Amino acid sequence: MRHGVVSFRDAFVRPLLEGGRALVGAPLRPRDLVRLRRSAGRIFDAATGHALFARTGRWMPRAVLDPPGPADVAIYAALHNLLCLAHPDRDRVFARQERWVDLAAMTLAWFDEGAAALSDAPLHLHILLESALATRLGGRVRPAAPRWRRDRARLALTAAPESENGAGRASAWPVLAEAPLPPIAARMRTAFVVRSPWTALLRVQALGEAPLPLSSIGRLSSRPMWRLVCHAWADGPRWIEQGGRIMARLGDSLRQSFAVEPAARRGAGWVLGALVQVHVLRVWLDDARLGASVDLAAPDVQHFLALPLSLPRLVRVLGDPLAGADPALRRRWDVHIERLRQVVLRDVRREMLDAVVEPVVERT
Amino acid sequence: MPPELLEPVVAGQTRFRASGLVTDPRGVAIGRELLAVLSTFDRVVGFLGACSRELPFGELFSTLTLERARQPGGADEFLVRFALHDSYTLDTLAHLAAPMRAHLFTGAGTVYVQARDVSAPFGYDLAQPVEGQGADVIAVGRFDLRRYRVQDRIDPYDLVLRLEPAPEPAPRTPPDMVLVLVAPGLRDRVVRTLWRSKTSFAGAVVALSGSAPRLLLRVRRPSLRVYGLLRALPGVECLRPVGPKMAVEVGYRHPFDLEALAPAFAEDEAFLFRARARRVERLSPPPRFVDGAHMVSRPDRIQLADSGDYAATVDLAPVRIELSLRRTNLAHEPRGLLVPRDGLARLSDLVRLLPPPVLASARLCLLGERVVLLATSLVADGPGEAVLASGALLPVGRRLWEAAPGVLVPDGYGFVPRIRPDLLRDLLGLGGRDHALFVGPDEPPLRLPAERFVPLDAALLASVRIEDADVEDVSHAGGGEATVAFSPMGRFALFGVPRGARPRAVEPEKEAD
Repeated sequence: MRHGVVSFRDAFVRPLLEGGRALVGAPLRPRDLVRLRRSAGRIFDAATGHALFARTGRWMPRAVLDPPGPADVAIYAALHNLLCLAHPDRDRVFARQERWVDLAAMTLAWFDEGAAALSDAPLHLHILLESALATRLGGRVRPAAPRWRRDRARLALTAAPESENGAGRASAWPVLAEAPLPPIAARMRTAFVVRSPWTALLRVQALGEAPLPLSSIGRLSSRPMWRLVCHAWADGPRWIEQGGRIMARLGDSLRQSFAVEPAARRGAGWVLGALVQVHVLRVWLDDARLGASVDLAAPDVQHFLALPLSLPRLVRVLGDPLAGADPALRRRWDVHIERLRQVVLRDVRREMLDAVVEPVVERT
Repeated sequence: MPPELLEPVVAGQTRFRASGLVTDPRGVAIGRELLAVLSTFDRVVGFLGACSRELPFGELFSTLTLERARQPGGADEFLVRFALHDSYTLDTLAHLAAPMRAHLFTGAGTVYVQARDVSAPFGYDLAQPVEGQGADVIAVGRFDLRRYRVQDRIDPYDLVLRLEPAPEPAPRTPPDMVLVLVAPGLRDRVVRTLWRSKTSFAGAVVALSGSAPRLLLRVRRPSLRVYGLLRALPGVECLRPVGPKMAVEVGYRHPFDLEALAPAFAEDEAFLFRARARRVERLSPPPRFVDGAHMVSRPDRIQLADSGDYAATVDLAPVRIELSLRRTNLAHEPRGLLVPRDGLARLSDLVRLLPPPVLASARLCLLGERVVLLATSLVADGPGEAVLASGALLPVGRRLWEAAPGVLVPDGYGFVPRIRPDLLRDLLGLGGRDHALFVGPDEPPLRLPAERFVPLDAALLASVRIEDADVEDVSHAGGGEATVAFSPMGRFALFGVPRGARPRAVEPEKEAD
């Protein structure tokens, strides 16, 4: 079954934005895309536009995006085809493996085309991509229409509510950003996330093995979004592991892009600044305990914890995170630094300076 | 050009000809010890002084060896050796050694090789084994070989104590703490001066070698005047504490950073560096200070005689008087109303006219045939509420004024004698927010517990029924969780997808800008 214009809107785009069950059928073809783009006004009608507006409000205090149009349709078509690559029925299709690679290449071209046409590309792209990455992958559904009507029936009207393998609570299903996918779909997901720097920062695990797109990150300038990134990293009880993961990814990225353009170095500097801000936020909330449940000796975690100790070197290029702080916060920060000094090994500190801080400070 | 005795170590090299060389985490070849060769003794002092200020010298000092040595047919030179842990310390030492013209070597035992420099960033190793020829220390440079025989050894601890502090300009502002060594004859006068100037101090008597025991005072935060006085007084020496165990005379500075050296010295010793007297006093055990208050004798204490308790023996009956309510023409601010039951209807009419703050502050208490309406100091929460007392506004019933907090008396009456308000409250045995009401001179007072007062608006209002509003729930707009369900694709799902378009790929490694 393949989506038409109305079912694409009602059974795929709107559930992704508003919540509910989004249906994924057969992959969309070029001629489907042409039809969908021509009907962009119908797809993003008042209700869907409002849903996109409400979703944008999660990240930004006011709607800053341009009204959605054909570029958004192309992105959603690409996301639909990405989900097709993760379809459990893929093996039953009469097609060689190369045909799936053709589909992936075509989908990536759609995504690039759509991304290039968006006016406020990084944030807009992130909101669209995040709506798909945050969905949970359920199971198959059976068509409920009688057999003789099935060919003509539209997808949204025929899908039965029960699913075959979706036993258990929906909250236990993996979200697309973290779900184990077939290799071709995983590569596709990585390719999408690498093209959207905000998503790469907020969904690090969706990057797979790829490095952080530092040069794109170096061009991000939205202060509210950077603040959101800091809060997202500092949120929850597992903030130390999260910081360690990002630190490890940043180290890999720096190693792989040793002699690149200044934007990449600036991006690395900003990521470091955000990680320092995570420490400041936790101290500010008076919740910067180094819990016993965390493996503090793990190298990544050690690097993350060593970061505030290198702050005197970073202040010159990143600014002082405690500028204008009240004395109580400064006192708590000093206590935090003292605790970190007891935990972080001295050679780790030096290694951090050599491998991460020095390149950023020297060349930024 | 002479043959090179050393060869540069290459990256990753782990085996060396010189015994005792190992690689540190950076890959630099270093030995267990560092050897610095200096030509004169004042350079040794300068070098160690710089080390004490730039390095964690407390640990290094315990491994320090200081020797005077000579090459066959050469002049005396000084060898300084201490433990070396990593090449970072070595780099710092190289910076410190350059102004002293010291030659740095690293190694262990007797053979030391030249420390790393620009031409050999990973250090040096021996090009071929060297012969000792009975030397105590062999220092191998790139082109020269030095064989030293040790002449004598200098104890570093003795060196610290024998070095003379050098004069330096003393700061004008007094330090937080200063130690004062007082000559025996001045003892009482100095203590009295400090006591009179309200300076916080403590003292101990210390035994000095070769002279009479002296008073050592520890003065905290002296004023500028006291500090100037103490410094200018002959027979009094001011010392500045440096670390927990040592003190140097004010206006002088020890060549070494004594604070860094403190861990190397024993716990139960203290040292006073008296520069003008050219002596170092070793105090073992360290002085235990006694608070200055115990050192001052005060003969002028006044003795207070006990007046005795005659309450039980003297009869006060002739002067004892009764507390009574009498008529008075003094004007008082009304704080409440005593409303008879039949005036209640009028009260409910007047309530409609009350402004909101008065309505909020007024309390109502129902008695048998009367009602008390209150806005006293005890029920008022804010400072302005008692002033806006409802009793002052409503023309109904009889006005009450407050003779003491919570003690209500009808207007036109007062207590004789006029006792203190808190005593009156104590006599009535009132606690918390309880009130007492005097209705008239012949009637006994009534106790009004705080919980019997209800807010006026709540007491008079009829109940209001509220209905639930029909509110549309918009919270899930854009906030719900989406799930993906897969419907069948069909056997020919890829029909219509163009063939062979295999562009830049699905290569995730490629980064997009």
